[in-house]
Amino acid sequence: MSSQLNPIGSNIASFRSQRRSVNPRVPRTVTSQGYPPNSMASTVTISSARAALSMEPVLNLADVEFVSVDYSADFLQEPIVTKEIEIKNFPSRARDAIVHDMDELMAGKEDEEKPTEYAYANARRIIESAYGKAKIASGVSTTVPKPLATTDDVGGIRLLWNLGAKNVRLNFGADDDRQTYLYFEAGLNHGVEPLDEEHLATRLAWLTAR
Amino acid sequence: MANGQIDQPNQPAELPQHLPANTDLLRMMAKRIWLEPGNLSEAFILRSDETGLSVCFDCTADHCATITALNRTYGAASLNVQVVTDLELTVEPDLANHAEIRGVPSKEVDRDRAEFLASQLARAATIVDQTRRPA
Repeated sequence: MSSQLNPIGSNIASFRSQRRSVNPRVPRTVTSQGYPPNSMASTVTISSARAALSMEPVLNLADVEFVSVDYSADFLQEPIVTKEIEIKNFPSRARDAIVHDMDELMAGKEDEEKPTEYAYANARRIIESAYGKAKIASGVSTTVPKPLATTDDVGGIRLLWNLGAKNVRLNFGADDDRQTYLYFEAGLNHGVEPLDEEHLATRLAWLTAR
Repeated sequence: MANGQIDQPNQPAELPQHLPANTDLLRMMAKRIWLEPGNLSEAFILRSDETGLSVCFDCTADHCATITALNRTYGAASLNVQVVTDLELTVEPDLANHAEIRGVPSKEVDRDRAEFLASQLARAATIVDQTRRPA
């Protein structure tokens, strides 16, 4: 975009640097466009106590699938596209889908044993923690598939990922006396690892790596 | 029996000690999800109360469903005796038209081998029937 079309483009960096020094307790105003905002407006004006910025929308909001974000004043002051905004298949969304499937097992599902509380609590804790780590590390971004959630015959939970020739299987034992482990396989290369958030996050990155 | 164990009312006088290598074995699908791509390995994980994987031979899937007496099945996968023995497992007939694949460890005993063998057996198997029984 040329400076003629976007006369404020060169000012964004200086605006950001000024913004960082602004006391967050000082109220900053955002020119309201009503709610929901008119995303097709040609110009959005944002002003604070020490700086002002006008900018054009850079993409159509209707094409963006936003995920759960804590909408703070800082977020509203940011240009629309930043690297902190994740789009589609966000790890927390994948995590929620897995938890949902485990909840279905707990509620009772045809062909399946009801998981034990022990297996469920263990599985949920590790899944939530591992996907949190994956999000921070950005090692698992957009391609991790949803696993199959099933049970063994005594109420242990099994989660199975298949991607090409690679497999990752989690086995959450029904109780403390039964095996809880992570199994991985790619062709004839296979093995078992402890099932904790660190190993799972690493294996999910391995699963999706090309 | 509802849990998949085999009724043994009248054991036939003569059972083959070994099945020919080219014999096709049927493994009944006790869960619908086993039929989905990538999930067939779950059909070859030993249950905690099993000593071997239950399979049928020289019979139809209908007859196999009757023999295994599972409450509900969703079809059958077929695999060859040769494939099983190539994995250093054995096929031991124990009833007319029924045998067990022996040598598969429980995942409680040998996790790695149990999972790997499940993958290998699934790779060698083909789903040949997708009929829900009872309908």
